[in-house]
Amino acid sequence: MSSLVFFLIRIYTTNLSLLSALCAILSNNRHMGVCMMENQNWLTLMNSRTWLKEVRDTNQYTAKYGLTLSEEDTEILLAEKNNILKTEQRVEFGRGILPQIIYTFCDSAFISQNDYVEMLIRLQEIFYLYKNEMQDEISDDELLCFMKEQFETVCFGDLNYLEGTCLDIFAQAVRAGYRGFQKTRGSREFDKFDIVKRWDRELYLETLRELCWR
Amino acid sequence: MNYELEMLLPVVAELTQKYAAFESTSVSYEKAQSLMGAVIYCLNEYHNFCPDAPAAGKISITEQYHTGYELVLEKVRKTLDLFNRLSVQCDDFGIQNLHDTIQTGIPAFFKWYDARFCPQDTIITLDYPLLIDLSSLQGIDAVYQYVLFAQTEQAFLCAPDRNYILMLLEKYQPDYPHMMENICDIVLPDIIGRLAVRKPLDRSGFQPEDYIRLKEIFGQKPVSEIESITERLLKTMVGLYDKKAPEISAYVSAAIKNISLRIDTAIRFDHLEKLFLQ
Repeated sequence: MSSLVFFLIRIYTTNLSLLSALCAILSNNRHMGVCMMENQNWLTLMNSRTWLKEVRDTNQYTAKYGLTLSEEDTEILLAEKNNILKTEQRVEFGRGILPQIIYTFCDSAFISQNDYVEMLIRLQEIFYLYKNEMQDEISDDELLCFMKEQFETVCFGDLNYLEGTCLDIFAQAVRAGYRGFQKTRGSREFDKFDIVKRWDRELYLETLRELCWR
Repeated sequence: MNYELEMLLPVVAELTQKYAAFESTSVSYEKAQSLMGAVIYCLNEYHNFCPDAPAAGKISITEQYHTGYELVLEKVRKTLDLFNRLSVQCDDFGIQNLHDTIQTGIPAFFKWYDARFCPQDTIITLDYPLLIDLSSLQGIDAVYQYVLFAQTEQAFLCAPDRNYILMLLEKYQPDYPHMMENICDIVLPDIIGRLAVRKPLDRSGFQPEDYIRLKEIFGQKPVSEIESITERLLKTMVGLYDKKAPEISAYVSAAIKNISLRIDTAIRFDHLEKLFLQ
C-alpha cells in the first residue's frame, strides 16, 4: 500500500498543496473515500484557524504604525495565500511567511491602512515567486531583508519595480551561483548588481548646480 | 501496509522543517513529494525488517520512521564494508564499463547519497549489467544488492582460468574492453557447451564434431527441456565451488532461461558457432 501511495503521489500532485494533494490521492481509494475527505476538511480547518490567529496577533504590534487587519481582511489574506501557493506550486508548513512579512514591512513609509491588505497580498505573491526563481537557495530572512531594503530605497514603494527589476536582476545572480548574500543576510546586495546610475548626494548637487547656474 | 494520512503528515512536516533548517517556511511541490518519498522509503525499510511489528500496534508511525531511517544507515554501512572488499578484489578483465561502475560510480554514490532527505534516490546508473534485474529497487537497496551480486559474480569468475575468460571475450568482440554486456552472458554458454560435450575449459575452441554433438543434446527439444539440461549442467559446475556455492548457484540460475532461449534459437537457425565460439 505504501508503495502505491508513493506512485499515486507522483501522478496526482501537480497542482495541489501537500495537505489537499495527499488527501485527494487517498480519497480516490474507494476504501478510504469518505473518511479521508472528512479528515481533509478537519485538518485544513485546524491549520487555517491557527494561521488566522497568528496573523491577527500581529495587530498588537502593527497598531502603533496605524495598520490593523480585520477578520474579513485575514480571511481574504488566507484565501489569497492558498491561491498563490497553488500557482507557485509550493507547500507551506508551520506559521507561514505572512506574519514575518507583516513585521518586516509594517514600519514602511510607503504602506498605509488604505492599501495594507493589497500590499500584503502582493508581497506574499512576490515572495513565493522569487523563492522559486532563486531555487530555494536563499532563506526567508535573507529574501525579506533584500525586499524591504529595495522597497524602501531604490523602488520608493513601487512593488512592480521591486518585482520586475531589483528582484529579477538579483535572482539571475543567485541562479548563476552568487552566494554573497549569505554573509550579508541579504543586506546591501543590490548595489553589486544595479546597472542604473542612481541619484546620490553628489550627483544631485551637481545637477542642481547645472540647472541653477545656466 | 495501510497508513492514515494524518499519521504520515506530522512525520513529513518534521522532516520538511529539518530539510529547510528552519530557514524557510515553504518548499516546492517537487521537494515535498521527494520528502514524502523519503518517509515512505524508511517506513518500507522498517516493515521489511519487522513485518510483524505493526500488527502489535505498539509503535507509533514516527518511531517506525526513525527506526526505518536507522536501518537505512545500517544498510549503508554494510554496503560500504562489502564494497571496500569488492573494490580491492575486483577483476574487471579490462572491461571499461565494469571498471567505471565499480571504481568510479559506486564511490560517487557513497559520496552523494542522502539517507535523510532522499534515501530513495539511487543517484548512479549502475551501467554494468548483472544477470539479475534490480530495476525494481531504489536507493541503498539497489546498490546493496548490486554490490552483493557483483561480489558473487567475481567469486564465480575467479574459478575458471583467467586466460580462458580473456580468450572468450576477445573471440566474442575484439575490442571487448568497450563492450557493454555482462561477462557471464558470454562465459556461461561456453562453459555449458563444454560441460555438455565434456570439453576442458581451455583455450581450444569448439570443433565441427562438437557442434554435431551439441545438436544431438539440445536439438529437437522444447525450450523447457533445454532449461532442465542447462540447469543440471550448471549445478554440476557450481558443485565444484567450495565457498559461496549457494549464492553462485542462485546468481547463475538467473541466466538459465535466457541461455536456453539462445541455444534454441542458435540450433533452429544453425548458428551454434555464434554462441559456442570456435
